[in-house]
Amino acid sequence: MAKKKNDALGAAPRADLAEIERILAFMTERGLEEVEYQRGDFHVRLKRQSGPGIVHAVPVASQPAARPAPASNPGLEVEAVAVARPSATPAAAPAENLHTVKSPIVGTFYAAPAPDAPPFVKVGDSVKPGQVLCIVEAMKLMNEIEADHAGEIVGVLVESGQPVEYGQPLFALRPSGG
Amino acid sequence: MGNTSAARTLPETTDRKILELLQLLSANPMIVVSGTRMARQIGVSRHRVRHWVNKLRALGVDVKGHARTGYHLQKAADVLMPGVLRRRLEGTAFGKHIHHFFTIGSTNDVALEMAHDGAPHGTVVLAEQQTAGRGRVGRVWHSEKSNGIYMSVLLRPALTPAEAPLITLVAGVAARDALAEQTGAVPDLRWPNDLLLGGKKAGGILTEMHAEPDRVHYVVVGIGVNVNHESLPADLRGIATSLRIATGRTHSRGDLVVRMLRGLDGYYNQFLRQGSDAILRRFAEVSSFCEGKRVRVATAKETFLATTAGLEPNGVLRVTRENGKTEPVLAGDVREA
Repeated sequence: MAKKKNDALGAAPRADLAEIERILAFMTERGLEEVEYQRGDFHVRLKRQSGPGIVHAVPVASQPAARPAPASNPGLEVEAVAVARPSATPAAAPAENLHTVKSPIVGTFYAAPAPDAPPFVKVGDSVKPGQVLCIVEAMKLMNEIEADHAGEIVGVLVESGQPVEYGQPLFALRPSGG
Repeated sequence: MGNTSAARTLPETTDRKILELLQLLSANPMIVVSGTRMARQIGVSRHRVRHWVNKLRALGVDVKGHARTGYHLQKAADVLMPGVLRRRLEGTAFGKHIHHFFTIGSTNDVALEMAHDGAPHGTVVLAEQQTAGRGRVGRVWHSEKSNGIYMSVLLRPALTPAEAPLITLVAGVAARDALAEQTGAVPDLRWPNDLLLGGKKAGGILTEMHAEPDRVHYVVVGIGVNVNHESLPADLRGIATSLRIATGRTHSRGDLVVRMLRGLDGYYNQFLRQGSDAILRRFAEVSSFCEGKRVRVATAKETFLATTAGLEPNGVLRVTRENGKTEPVLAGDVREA
């Protein structure tokens, strides 16, 4: 999937701001520190510093350079990236029904089989049912979490190495094939 | 998951034929068996017999003689033959489906593949040698030919995923007790299930699970034990040992496998019937790491010093940090500080 940063993005459009607000509410509710989210041409990565204080949803205009936007707001880092995609997928419906893959145990989330290995999946990957998405470890019991639906990964909701709770969403998946 | 072919082609594997050959030799200890007779009994050419005898020798089996005079075993081979193990495991869940490989990538990979294909509860996979033995988070398990035990056990417990991590303690205390009986030494158990002799690691257990949110499909418990290694690679010497190095004598791998599987059968059934109390109590009895131990905890996020403060009811280790805060360790390396 060819991704291009679009310098002409400028300030995020209002609809996108509303979407970011929604994701932030989700992050706060779940206590997530980082979320990568993609829907159609809209692709955003939100980082929230845990700790006291209110989190402000202020997206930073994307920079001409490839480096991430500076965290001008101490609470939050937003990288807004417009993604130029071949018109294979029509724009998703606004009230899209995303499927979340949840953790069946309390444990530690690993995005990759080894610290120096590439992740099992990343945003934009198409996955098949039964494909391994991550490992959750508890007491040296490694639980390979598999996709239970075919679809596209639109969100990796936990950072590798972070503890996860029972039932915590790990991935957002857009089911394919209707 | 690799090794699909290894599992799929199992009924036709050469390993089985070599085992037949070894069983034939073992059934006639100290008696010279002619190559012709062996070839006839197994149903292969004499040339093939010679080839396999050489393979057995490469695996450390002391086969005397040659094609013209016939072959015999000088002493009973310590190869983990399913036929022998099956008899010694009667009455347990683990005697009926034992698969033995001479060389395999990883016993866990093959057991997981078999589990995926519907292999029953109690299936055991053994290998003389692993070419891709695995540990936690992509680490390698040193799997020297025929000197260690490389074994995976398939369990299909009627548990929820939340209860399953206790199986790692069940396997740990079973393997630890087996080592104690075998060596007469007092092995330590490092949370959750590293087997230590004289403070060094002689065995490790890697458990892998396949589950739905409310139901465990299967659990594969992989156990690696350094048994008869005379020495270990330089980079492991400081932290690892073998039963032979620790006790000064060799040990029968077959005896140890039987002890471990019998012990696992007992603790596992007790756990399913009565819950975790007995397992947690046994862990506290045999592990110096359970309470009051100064440790260094390394998680994916950080490394810190702490003192162990017992187990939670679900088997998770509690540690108290230097600042006095007590917290659970879900996953990570716990080492003596």
